[in-house]
Amino acid sequence: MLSIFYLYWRILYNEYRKRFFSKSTLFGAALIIFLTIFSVGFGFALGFLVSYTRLHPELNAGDPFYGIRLVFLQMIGSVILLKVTYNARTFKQLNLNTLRLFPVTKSTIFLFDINIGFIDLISLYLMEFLIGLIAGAGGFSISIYTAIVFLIFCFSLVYFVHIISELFQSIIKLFSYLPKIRTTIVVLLTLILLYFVAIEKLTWEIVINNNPLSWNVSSIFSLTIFHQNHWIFEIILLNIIFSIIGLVFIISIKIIHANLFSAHILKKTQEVKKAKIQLSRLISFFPEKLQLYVEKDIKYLFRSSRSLTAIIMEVMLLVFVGYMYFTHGKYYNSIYLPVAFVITFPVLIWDFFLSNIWGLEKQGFGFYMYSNVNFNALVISKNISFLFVRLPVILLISVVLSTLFSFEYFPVIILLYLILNFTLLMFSNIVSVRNPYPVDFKESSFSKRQQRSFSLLGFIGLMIYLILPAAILFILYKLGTGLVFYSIMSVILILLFIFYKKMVSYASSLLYKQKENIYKKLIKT
Amino acid sequence: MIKINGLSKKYNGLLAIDNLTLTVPERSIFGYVGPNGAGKSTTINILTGMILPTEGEVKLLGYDLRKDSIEIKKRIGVILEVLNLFEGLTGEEHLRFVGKVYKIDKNILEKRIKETLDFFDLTSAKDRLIETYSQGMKKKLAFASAIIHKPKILLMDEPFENVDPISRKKIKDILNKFRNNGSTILITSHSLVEVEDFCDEVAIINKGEIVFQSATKDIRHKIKNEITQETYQSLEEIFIDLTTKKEDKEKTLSWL
Repeated sequence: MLSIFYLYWRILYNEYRKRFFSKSTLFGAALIIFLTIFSVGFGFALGFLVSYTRLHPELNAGDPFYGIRLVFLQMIGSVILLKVTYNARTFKQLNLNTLRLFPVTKSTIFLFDINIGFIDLISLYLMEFLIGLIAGAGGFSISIYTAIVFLIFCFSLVYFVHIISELFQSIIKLFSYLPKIRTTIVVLLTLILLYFVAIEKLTWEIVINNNPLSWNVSSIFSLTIFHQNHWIFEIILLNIIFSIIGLVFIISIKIIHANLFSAHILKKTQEVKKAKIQLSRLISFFPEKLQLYVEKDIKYLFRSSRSLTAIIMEVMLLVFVGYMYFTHGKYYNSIYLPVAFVITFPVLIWDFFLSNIWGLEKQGFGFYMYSNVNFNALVISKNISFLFVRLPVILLISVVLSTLFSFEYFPVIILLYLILNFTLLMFSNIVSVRNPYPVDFKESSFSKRQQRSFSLLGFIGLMIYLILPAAILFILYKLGTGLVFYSIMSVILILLFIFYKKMVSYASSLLYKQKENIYKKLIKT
Repeated sequence: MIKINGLSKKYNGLLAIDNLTLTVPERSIFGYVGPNGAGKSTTINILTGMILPTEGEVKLLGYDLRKDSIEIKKRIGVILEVLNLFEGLTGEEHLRFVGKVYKIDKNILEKRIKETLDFFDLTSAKDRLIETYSQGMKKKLAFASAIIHKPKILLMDEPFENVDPISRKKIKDILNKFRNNGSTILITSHSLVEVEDFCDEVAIINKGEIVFQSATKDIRHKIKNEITQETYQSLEEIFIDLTTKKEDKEKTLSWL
């Protein structure tokens, strides 16, 4: 036990030392300060929304906090989704194979791995930090005592969320080795769900109201709104009990997986499904010089778990927008707009982040190194494949949003999306080329990255990416749709397009230089 | 002593090891060779407890692999082809971790770490993260980690690969010392000359089966080709003869 603790502690210490005592310290600190201010503001904004709902009970007759609960649940859901799919850990290198050589039981290894993963800095501690701050902001507005209770509560909630994510992750990993069982279980679960929806009349409201996470969320309201904290201790206890049960489940699943893994060690891990290959072949209307790269990139999109998360999140957004329109459209102007904002925001950030980590794929790297590659086509093909993933969802969201407000806004939304994507691609081309990482596949590109530094250009890009649409919406609010507004948008778009072209050629030359640099480094080693 | 009896391993219907029976005697350096995909790594992975056998019995130092894998792991040292190092640790921290896992007394451990790092010329790099080490340095550290607890059995997959001649000599000296102190050493290698020169006994595995086993000193004089009745000149000759089909031997590139 102590030796494993020593191992984890030293790796954690080295990881922190490497990151926090480097050149990027200042930028890292600036980023944390920004996120802190942002999340505190975010917490108060949500608090305001709660108060608003309380003062206008007619907005949600019968369940005054339905909308806001949905916001919280969506946030927690996003965190879980990200934690499940974003498979990057400081301790990823502590793979089972290395530790299993030592006389340590599997359960000890997993117990440490799961719990240390909770304080892992790389991936999602900022998200956990965010939830803590939101709750903290609410708690501190009442009394110090409540704030302390609230923080303990938050800690238990975040740990519970961590355990749920780990549970999902371990189940997914287990299923990836058991294709037949996976299919059976998915079919069974679908049937059970259909049974409950069709026969037992299970509604979204029932699901929202009756799960441990909802109880957690409800307790936040009972505390912040009604100043009642008599059952928050029970929720804390419940979180701990559920977490322990979850922990036992995860360890058991991981042990089964470890044993199965040993049996399937030779299994091909990078299978490409035929359907996916065929899909890429359908897209054959690009110029010949681009076609080869686009085909390859689209195949990689479907192999990369991160690009799949972008698709999942955008589909989630679409479902929510659709849901908001078809069920509670009448409240859109008071509750659902902030809710849509809360959901859209992480999607935008994730898209931005994702587009920036799409660098060179490791497998194709030798190809770039020694072949006569058209770098310009390479960069453009990455952009096309990125737009390809987003396009159907963008169109659907635009249609739904314009139906919700007015079709007058349809071109606005389309133009806005175009502006957003050009901005995104402009910066991501440079940032991703500067740090060519492998695409993830089965191994984490993060663990392969030796020194991941803060990118000022990426940060500026992110700011422009977020501020630009806000500015356009502000202009829209002030001027309304009309000739002046469309002229402004068109000018922005034309400017962006010109910049985009320049950025692509700059990115291509940068990519060429990067290739040379990496080649030189490789010769040295 | 390592005893393997009727060992089989199937991967998704593919037979990687077929009814393998092998005894590695105590106090010996045993060479285990074979072409790519013959089943060497699978055997090592089974012996280290990384994968479970489909059938058969495996005993190391009298312990049954299925029942007492933790007891076995306490007594073996391992180097795998993909080095089993935690790259987020420094060289010194790695050795300390390994020592702690094997519950070596603190004072003894610190002394051993210092001496081992010095022996392998790693003292100047002891505070650097392993991820910054060269392949050769990593190999030496992996070797140091495998021996620091004085194991009774050493399982080594390609221990001499990527190592400079001086370190190679040092590793060989250490392995000889281990053998003389009563340990059993199993080595896989593609360098047949090295195996023939260094090991006491050798076994060739092909398509999951042992096709040849002999003491290395007997190879040149006693072993004869069954058809030609000629004496083999080297382990390499035996290896090629036993693991290559006749038509494959004659294959060439017609366009050259």
